[in-house]
Amino acid sequence: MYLGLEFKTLSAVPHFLWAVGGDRQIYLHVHGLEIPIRVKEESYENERWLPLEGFSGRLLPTDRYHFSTYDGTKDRSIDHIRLPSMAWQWEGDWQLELTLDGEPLDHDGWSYAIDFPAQFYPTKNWKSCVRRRKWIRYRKYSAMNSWCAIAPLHKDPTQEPFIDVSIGGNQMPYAPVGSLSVWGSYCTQSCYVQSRSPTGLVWVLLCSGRAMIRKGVTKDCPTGEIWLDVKSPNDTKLSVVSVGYNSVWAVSTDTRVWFRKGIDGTAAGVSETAAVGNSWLEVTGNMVHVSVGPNDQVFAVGEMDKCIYWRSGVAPNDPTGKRWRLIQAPMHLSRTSSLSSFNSTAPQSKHRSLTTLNEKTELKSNINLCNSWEESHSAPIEHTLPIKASAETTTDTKPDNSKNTGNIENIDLTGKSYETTLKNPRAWSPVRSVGSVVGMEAHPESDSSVFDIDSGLYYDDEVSQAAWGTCETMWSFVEAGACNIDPLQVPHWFSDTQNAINTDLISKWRIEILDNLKSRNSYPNIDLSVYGVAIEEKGWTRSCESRLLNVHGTFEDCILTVHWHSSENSGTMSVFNPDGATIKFILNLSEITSIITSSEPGCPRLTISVPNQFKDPIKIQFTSEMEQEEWLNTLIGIVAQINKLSGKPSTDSVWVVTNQGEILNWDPASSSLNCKMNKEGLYTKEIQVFGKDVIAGFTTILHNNFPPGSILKLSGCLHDVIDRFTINLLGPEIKKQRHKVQSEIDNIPFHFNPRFDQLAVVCNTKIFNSWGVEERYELPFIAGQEFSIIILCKQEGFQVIVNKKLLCLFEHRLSPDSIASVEVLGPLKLYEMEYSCTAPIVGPEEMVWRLMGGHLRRVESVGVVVWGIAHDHTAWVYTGGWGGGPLKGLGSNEGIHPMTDTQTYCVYENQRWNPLMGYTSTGLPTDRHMWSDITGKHKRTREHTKLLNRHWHWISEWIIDYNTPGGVDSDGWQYATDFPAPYHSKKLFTDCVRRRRWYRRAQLNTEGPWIRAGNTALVDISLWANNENVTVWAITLGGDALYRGGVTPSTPAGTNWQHVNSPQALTAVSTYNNILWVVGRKRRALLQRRHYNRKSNRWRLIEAPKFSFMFGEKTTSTIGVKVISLTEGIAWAVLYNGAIAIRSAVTRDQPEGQRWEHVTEGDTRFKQVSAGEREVWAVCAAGAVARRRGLATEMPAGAAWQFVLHVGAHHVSATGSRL
Amino acid sequence: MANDREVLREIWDGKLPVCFQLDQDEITEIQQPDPFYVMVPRLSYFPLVTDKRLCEAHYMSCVKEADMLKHRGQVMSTMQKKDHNQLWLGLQNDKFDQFWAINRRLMESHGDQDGFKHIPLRIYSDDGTFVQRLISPKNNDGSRKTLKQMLLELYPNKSEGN
Repeated sequence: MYLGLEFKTLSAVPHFLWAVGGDRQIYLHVHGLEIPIRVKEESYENERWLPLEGFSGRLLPTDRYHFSTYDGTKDRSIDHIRLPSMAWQWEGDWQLELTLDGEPLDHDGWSYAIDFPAQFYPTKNWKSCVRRRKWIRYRKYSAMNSWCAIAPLHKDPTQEPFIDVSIGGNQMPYAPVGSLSVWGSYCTQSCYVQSRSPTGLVWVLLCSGRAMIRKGVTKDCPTGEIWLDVKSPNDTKLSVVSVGYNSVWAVSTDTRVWFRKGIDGTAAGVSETAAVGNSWLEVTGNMVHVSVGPNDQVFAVGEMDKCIYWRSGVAPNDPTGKRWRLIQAPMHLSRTSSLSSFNSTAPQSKHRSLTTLNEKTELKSNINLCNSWEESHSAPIEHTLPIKASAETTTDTKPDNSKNTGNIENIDLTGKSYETTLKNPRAWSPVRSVGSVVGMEAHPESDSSVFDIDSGLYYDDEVSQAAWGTCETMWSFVEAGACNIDPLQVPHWFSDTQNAINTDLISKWRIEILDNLKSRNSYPNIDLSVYGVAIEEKGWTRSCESRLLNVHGTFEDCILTVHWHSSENSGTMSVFNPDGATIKFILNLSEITSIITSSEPGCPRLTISVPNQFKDPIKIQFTSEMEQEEWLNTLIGIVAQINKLSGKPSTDSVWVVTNQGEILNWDPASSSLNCKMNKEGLYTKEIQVFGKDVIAGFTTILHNNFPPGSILKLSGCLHDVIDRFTINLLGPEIKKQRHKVQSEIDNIPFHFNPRFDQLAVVCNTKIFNSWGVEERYELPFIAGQEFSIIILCKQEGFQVIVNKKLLCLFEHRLSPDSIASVEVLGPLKLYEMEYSCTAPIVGPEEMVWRLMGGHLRRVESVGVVVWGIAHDHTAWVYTGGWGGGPLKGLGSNEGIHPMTDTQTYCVYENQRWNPLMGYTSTGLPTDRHMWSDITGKHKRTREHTKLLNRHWHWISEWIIDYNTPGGVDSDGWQYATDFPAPYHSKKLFTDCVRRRRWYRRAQLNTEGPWIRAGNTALVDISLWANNENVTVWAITLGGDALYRGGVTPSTPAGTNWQHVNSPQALTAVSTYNNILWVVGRKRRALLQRRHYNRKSNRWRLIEAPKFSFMFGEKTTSTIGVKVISLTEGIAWAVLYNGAIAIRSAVTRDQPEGQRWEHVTEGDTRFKQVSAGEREVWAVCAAGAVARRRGLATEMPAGAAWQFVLHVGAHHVSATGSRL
Repeated sequence: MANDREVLREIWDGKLPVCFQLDQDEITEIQQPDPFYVMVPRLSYFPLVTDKRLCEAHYMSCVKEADMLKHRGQVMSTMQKKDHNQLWLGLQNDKFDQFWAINRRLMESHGDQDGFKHIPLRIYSDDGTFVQRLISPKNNDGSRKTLKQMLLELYPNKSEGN
């Protein structure tokens, strides 16, 4: 944006751009944040009970201030809490916090205790001597997306003309997430320019060309210790220096480019040699300016052409790179106004590239490590919520007055304060008293024509086509501090030519060529049918040596062979013993329902589900990653071809994300192709009975239960000698803990039992293991004869027709929706068995799960729109494509985009104290491994931590985590009396053990049918659609609620986030039919809010679920809610102990529902649930995916879970499903 | 355009209807033999009509030579014997996917290289003679060379339309 203001220098980290203006003053531009920066000001009002007056603000002299901080040490009178600068505005007035740990307080918000400091309780009792309440008020940074002048040091700004400013330190080793530091320099004595790195390392150049570094800049000492001289390259003076993470680049006055060898950013604060490096190396090329990005990628401005260059091939093992590559960076001029802008003209490719380019490192690093769902190995863990609200951490980064020394002590609350009654917010100047030439004429939030809404890159197609032109620009300065490009996936517009690959695909010449090619094979004068084929279409065979997981849990050698005949659309997979002759098993490829990767580092594996043949999926280990990927690609292609799966799945799809981040899709529309509706509107499935003799019994699952309208037809032949036979329509299996876990069936809704000795048919119902009243009918069967039985389920009861004659109508005593299977007990021979239903019958063995491509942590679908969240909390939107990455070439290239994801690996260093040596890494023989995972059960060392496959690469070194939950000391240690015990940061006399956490981050580069949506880090998302209206709500990493504007089926990514205030930090969200439920971070509270219009901001607490019995144990306390999923009339919730509960009667008039009901039976614990209008799916803690059967209006909680997929799933979404 | 599967597939699927008729002089019987009709794939009929071993050896050496010119031989040298086999068998048996799974690597840019170093090219004229040249895929100004520019480079004398 050209503002009529000229800048001397720029310095940037993601979202924050500092500059020295032409007036030698410092300016700050905060941009690209999709949600406002809000800081919560808190003050505790303390009162003491005095005998006569009761509670009073007059406290004892030894007491804390009347208004204080949480710990009482500082005065926090609310009339003295002012805004730090005019760039801040208050959001509303001071308000009372009315909950304590999620429990509601009375309207005055007081909580009581015996004394300061002590445990505070919500109710007053006789020994309550003090009370306190918490006042909160939010302030918001209001100069977003605009230049804001930074207040100068002196009243007279000419006293301190700045010549340079530099921001960095956003990746300072061990520092908390979100810290930044800014250095400025002003010309009082000797001029210098300077640069600092993301790690905090500071280099300065004096006017004389001498270089210096600041020694000892660490997280605890951001200003460093002393200046050290660095020798310049021989016979030249340096004019520009730029510091990256592990590199320093410089340009000398004779335009030569220099690289400093031996810089190590991680150690620069503590090691002089790591900060100074060891020698200069000249790099070819003549440049006038150079700038290094946070990942050591280098940009420069050419000496002659004044064009921008990027250094290609820069990698950790080749820090100087290969060659300078010209970047297409034409300046785009708007014809409608004289403003110049950073917008570009090629709609899709460039805009996407820009989005990738603008991917914020801050976002990636905005991770706070804590294991909430403990995992027993050092595989990547999920990035869970930060302990501190990220709004606060981000604002830590916003110094309002920069000094010429480092300043991370940021917001000066009592310092210069500005009153904030802004009469006209559209025309205000950020600096009131001091001489600044820039005033903001427009307000970022009200004037979108000037300010981009979304990430500073709001893009309007039409405008771009019509109104933007380009001009050649002579560049003089480049700043790459906020530019974290991936050298392996360079944005398209980095290429030397304007032509991007994607534009070729839709260009006219290509389509013309394709059409010509298509038409060239038609020979109108020749009868092609007489021509034989030169090469016969034969099937092909593929074979490799691999290893198969056997029943003992070990892998044994085998030979895997696939034979595929494309034209017949059939094939087999065989597994041979290593001799190549004897076969282990052979299966039809059409029986495969899913193929996913299940690799461990160094062991590339595939998991293939064949539920028809094997209860557990087959696991195969390959000799190399390449081989595994080729097989994955081949098998998925074949399975998709057999099941006619391609492109975009239907809107009824169910989506599953595996623990390895793979995305699976089951499309009921394709499964129901095999199950056709007949003219009576019934779907029929023939059950394979193979004319077998049924003596011991034959049981088969009725996938759709047996609701009214269902029919079961049997025919067969009775044995000559027969006493009785039985047909049982069974209720759900329930897992029970006896001496061991076993499945039992308590209910038999319909028991049909012809007894030849009594010449009667006995019908009955078993409820909770006890039989009801028998109903007897005359026996219509004859021993040794053929028979046919038809059981029809009517509204009122079961109608049984034997040999085409009506036998009886047995009235329902239990809901037929709860029938899960049918059991036939002989002795008899079954010829045929047919099961008909009013809905398509699809069992787990017919659900084919297609791998869609990409890498995510969760997917939420509402049918027409599908969103995903990656492990690094970035949001992605499904493009409708299929393939990418290892699935290359399966689908078309349409909708396939590059994707990245980041995961964090953790290991724990454990030590035990002994009287001689103190803490050492020698533990007791019974101790855990001295390097372990969080449980201590598994040995994990830093050296042996390997990446999952070659698509992952490390993006950091091993770093001590100073943000481990529980707190750490100055070396990152946390102490405990013994393993395992609660850890604390301060060493106590009784502490015998200590541990510290190390982490290292890795990044995955892949492709998939997903495109980035915004750059705000999310933890949960919920979608709801009503025709064209799509509602998307999300929860940010910081716990804020967001509403996505502009989402429609044709624009699934929407346009922008709208922030909605909430009284506490949130963790989960669900929305349905204009009802919104969220879960607060305090777990207990469940909040709800109607949003008939989104402006209203009323939140209401919902009572916490409370059950007296759970998992066979007595519980007394309420259990927190972890996951919620709203659907028609009902809210499904997963509680923190893994149980599932439902809240019934949730309507628009009564959105808080009526009461909680415990759903889970047996001991299965769940980690997630997803409720659609007619489907409820869940993921159990062990990773199996389950589908709730028997859902009916009168049985909203359904009857039983049916496990459909055993693949180690992490997340399921059935919210789009309308089966 | 190694990633344009649609065009690649169309080119691959090109077939020639061929009718074999025995020369009148060769007919020794009274009855005229029926003509023999066959549809041959345009790209891979060669092994059908010549010595397979000879054909394979020639083909592989051509591919190696081309890779040398395109990528300084970096791709072929990293391939295993079974990849070479798959490439040849894919061509011989008219298996598009099998062939392109390997050939894709040969047709993509390699490493830091931006596109091919050179493109080996042979243009046949109607009279059966051919021109063989090494063509750089880029113009001097760095832009991608179009077919027309390339033809003009090879036949500078021929004006447009000829």
